Amino acid sequence: MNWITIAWPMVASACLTLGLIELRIGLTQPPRAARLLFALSAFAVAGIAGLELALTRADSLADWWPLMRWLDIAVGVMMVSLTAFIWVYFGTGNTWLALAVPGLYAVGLAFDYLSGSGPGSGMTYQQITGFRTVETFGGVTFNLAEGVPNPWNVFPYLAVLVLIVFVVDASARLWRRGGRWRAAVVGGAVVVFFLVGGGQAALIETGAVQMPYLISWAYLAILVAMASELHADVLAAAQLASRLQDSEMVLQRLRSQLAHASRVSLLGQLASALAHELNQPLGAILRNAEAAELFLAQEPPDLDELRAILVDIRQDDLRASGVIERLRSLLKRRSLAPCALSVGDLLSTVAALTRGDATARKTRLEIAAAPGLPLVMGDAVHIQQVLLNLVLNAMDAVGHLPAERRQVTVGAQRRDERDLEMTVSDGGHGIAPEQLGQLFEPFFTTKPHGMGIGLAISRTIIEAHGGRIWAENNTSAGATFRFTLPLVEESTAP
Amino acid sequence: MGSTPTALSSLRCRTMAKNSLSKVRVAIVEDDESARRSLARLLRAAGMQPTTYASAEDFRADLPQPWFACLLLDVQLLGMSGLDLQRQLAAEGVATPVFFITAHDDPRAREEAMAGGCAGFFRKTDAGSALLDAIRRVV
Repeated sequence: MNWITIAWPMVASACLTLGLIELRIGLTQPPRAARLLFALSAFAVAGIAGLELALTRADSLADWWPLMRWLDIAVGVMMVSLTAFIWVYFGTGNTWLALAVPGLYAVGLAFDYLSGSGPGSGMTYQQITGFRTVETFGGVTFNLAEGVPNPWNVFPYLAVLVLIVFVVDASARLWRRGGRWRAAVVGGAVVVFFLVGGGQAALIETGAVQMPYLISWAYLAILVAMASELHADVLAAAQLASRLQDSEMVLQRLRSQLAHASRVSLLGQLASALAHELNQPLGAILRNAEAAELFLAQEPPDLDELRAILVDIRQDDLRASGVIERLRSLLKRRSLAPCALSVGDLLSTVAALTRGDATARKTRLEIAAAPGLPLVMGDAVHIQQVLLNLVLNAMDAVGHLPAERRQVTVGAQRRDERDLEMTVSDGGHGIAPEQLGQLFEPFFTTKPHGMGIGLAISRTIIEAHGGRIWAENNTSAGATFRFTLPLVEESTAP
Repeated sequence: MGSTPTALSSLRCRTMAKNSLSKVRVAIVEDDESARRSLARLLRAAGMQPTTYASAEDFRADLPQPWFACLLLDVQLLGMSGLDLQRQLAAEGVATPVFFITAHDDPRAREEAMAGGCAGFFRKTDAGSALLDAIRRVV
């Protein structure tokens, strides 16, 4: 045990750890290709560290030569995967420079396998002259091969130089595109440590220094720089995910608040319309009763007038109980309960509900139902909500027009054998063509204080009835909202 | 029967007294048919002479305009509202007292009517005696 046999395995295990982490992340998270290439280069460097350690103990050509050949392959894998990593991760690399790295290194590597001069003669050395045991820091000894450098050794160094140029070039472009931090950290680290690692190898091979190869150490530093960048992505993604989760919770809360608000305002609308509806007959009954008392006090009492009063009181009473019946059915919260409905009843209820608004906004509400329409299948309360919503929207759309042109038309006609079509038309500005498709999306609104849920709810209701709802611009002015409802099938019609 | 008969019987006495004089002419502008008919009936029973109009436009179109002791206007009318009519008349210098009758007690409409100098603001469900008393006070 000495510091060499401790330090190199540490480097190897550090590289393996980094590689395994990226491999694990890269299998599921982007940038996947970059992470997998990074993992490959980390494994190659782990291999390089192991081979470097083994080379410090080799004292014969037979031991040394296979290790050296594996080292050259591992360095090649590391360089190619690093080039590919930069290519993928930066997206700014020059194609020719990137291709030149494996090309040049492959030529150099060929010497290891094609040279006919026997063991030891290859990419690095032409000939091995012997092995020396060298003593270094702390009195630790290791073995070092000595030999004549191969004059063709230029290829691997060229590959390293091209790789450096490639990285500098890609980093500079990335820097200009705004990826400054990534360019500086990853690009800078690759360049500096290639210079250190390659330089140290060159010094050993020319015999200028006597120390173990430190390629893996230099590359470990590159790996740490690259990993820090990749992990920053993971951290950023995790932060983004938690922020998304937060905003989704806020959105959820907002959504339920809005749904509640819309229910409240719809109820408020109904309550106010129904109060008006009830006060009309109640007031008339009161006036008639008061008048009857006065007529009865006359001598002789005007019996014709009194009879007419009783007829009117009975009618107003029926009118009031009709309003209350409607109120009951509107306020009853229940799930969809479709039954056969008269289109005329639907339309007159909606007219009654919106009459207060129509007068307050000086808007004429015209009902244009074709005569003799068949019954439709639907839940009256829900369909009324949809119509109410569409009519109030249409009134908003014509609000800016001079009073004589403020008109909203509600129509109904048979569409085909199976469907009835209801329409709500206004003469306003119409809808921007690009908004026609979004109108029914939740929270889409063109009104300054709109909540953007009325139409979304309407669509939900209509689709639950098996109908469709859409909007189109009129040829003259304004827009028409249309929805379909299924007709009651002949056989089931009451 | 509560207090209403008492109020009405006191009304009746005064009605009888008024009947000897020429009848009080009152215009009613009200779009709800039943409300219009019942209000006119009450005024008739109280010895007044009501003329009914279904809209402010109808009222304006009734030319030459009869002389009215006062006007009873519904606030919400199709077309021109009661408040609009009040404004128009004020702008033309017509000083006929105006009463509003509404089925929908909207505080804003009430404020606007009061600011326009109306003689009274009643809900349709208020006691008729109160309205009749108010009319008698101004004629």
